[in-house]
Amino acid sequence: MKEEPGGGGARPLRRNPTAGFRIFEGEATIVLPDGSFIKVLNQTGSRIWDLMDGSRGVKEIAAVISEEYETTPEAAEQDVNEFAELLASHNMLE
Amino acid sequence: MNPYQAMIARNWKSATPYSALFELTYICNHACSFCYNCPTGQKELNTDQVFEALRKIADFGVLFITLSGGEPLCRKDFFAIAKEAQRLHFAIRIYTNGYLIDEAVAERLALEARPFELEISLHGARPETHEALTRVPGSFARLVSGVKALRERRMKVLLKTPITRLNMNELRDIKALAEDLDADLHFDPVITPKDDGDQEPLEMGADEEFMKRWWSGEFEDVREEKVPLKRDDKDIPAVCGTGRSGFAVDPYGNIYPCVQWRRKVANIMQVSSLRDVWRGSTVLSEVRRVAEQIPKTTLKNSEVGEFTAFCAGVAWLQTGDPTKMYHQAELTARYRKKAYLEFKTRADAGEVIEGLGNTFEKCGE
Repeated sequence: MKEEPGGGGARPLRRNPTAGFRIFEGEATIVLPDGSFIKVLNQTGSRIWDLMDGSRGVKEIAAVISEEYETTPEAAEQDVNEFAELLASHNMLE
Repeated sequence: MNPYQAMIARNWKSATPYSALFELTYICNHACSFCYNCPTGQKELNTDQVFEALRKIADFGVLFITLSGGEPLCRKDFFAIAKEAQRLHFAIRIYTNGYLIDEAVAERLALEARPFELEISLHGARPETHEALTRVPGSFARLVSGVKALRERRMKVLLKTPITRLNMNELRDIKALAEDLDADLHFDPVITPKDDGDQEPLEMGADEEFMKRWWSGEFEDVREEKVPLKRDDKDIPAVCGTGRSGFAVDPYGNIYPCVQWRRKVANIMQVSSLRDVWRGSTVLSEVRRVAEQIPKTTLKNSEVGEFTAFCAGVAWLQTGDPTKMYHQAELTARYRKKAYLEFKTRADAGEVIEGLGNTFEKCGE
């Protein structure tokens, strides 16, 4: 079975520590050292990226997103999981 | 416009810089005859001061940091600086001559500095040409082995070759060498004066006859810009991003609007916040005004304006007036336009010319 980037929700998510990034006016621009990958994330993606500092898992990040963006915790968790998978596929998570 | 270009245009409009070039030292292990650096003999920033400067630059929101020199790897604390830059979440680029990159240094660059790109100056396809400019025996072989060591570690390498009288007859060999090394290559047909205005380096530049050939069919297969690109001042209505999208810091901490236009804005060690300097500087206001004026005047009034890659800093150094058309820019634009019109004639006759009418990225874009 494929392991989810968030380890089922409890394992802390951490940005690739070698990624250069800045969040400007709510949007994150990210550059990875292995191939000059430049990605501009939308506001929700940028907020999730910001929260992936190694201190929170999927459920905790989803709780913040659910509160800030007025969505259900279940929907937020699904969004965070999908987003984490996308980031992991681009080597953007540790 | 993709999201990244939209971000660049938005940052330009709000004059929010996203890149900085940091000259860590003017010490260099080469003696290139056309180097533009002008060391003053002042004391260069020490490790703690460089860290403080990097923190101020990061606090300001800058994403891209270029660690340059002189030769940045000559600094004994280079890896400490690179690690601090990484801790501050910068996207790191390194300008180097490659001389000090052996297997061990390449390994440290890959594991500790982790730049997204290294730009290395290559002056010829063979030792005698490269070393005629670097004036250091053995520098060619060390560059080649250094690039190999970096590529073995899958690091992105861009070889930069200023076209000079010495290498202009071996450009195809240089391209073949870059391909052998699996590195990207950029030819630069423009040589700039020294930072103090000394025009001597220009004597090393390729002559007009070569420039004519460079933009003719003869070098179509060598040029990156096969079909000459045009200017576009629609999204960014200025000649470049000077004083807006980025800035440069010299080894003494002096801040400039860009690497080429050396009008001192402030010293980074004497300011608490770059935001205050950025908004309140009269030098920056003037630089931004001039950068916006050039497309509306100098370039609009020139027959070759839409093909001119104009640098206000070079114009200032060459003519004393940052808005005045200078010889190199005009000459290059003339032959770029000629080549463009030849392609256009072919397109009008029914040939499919890829890229015809595309626009070039401005400096600092």
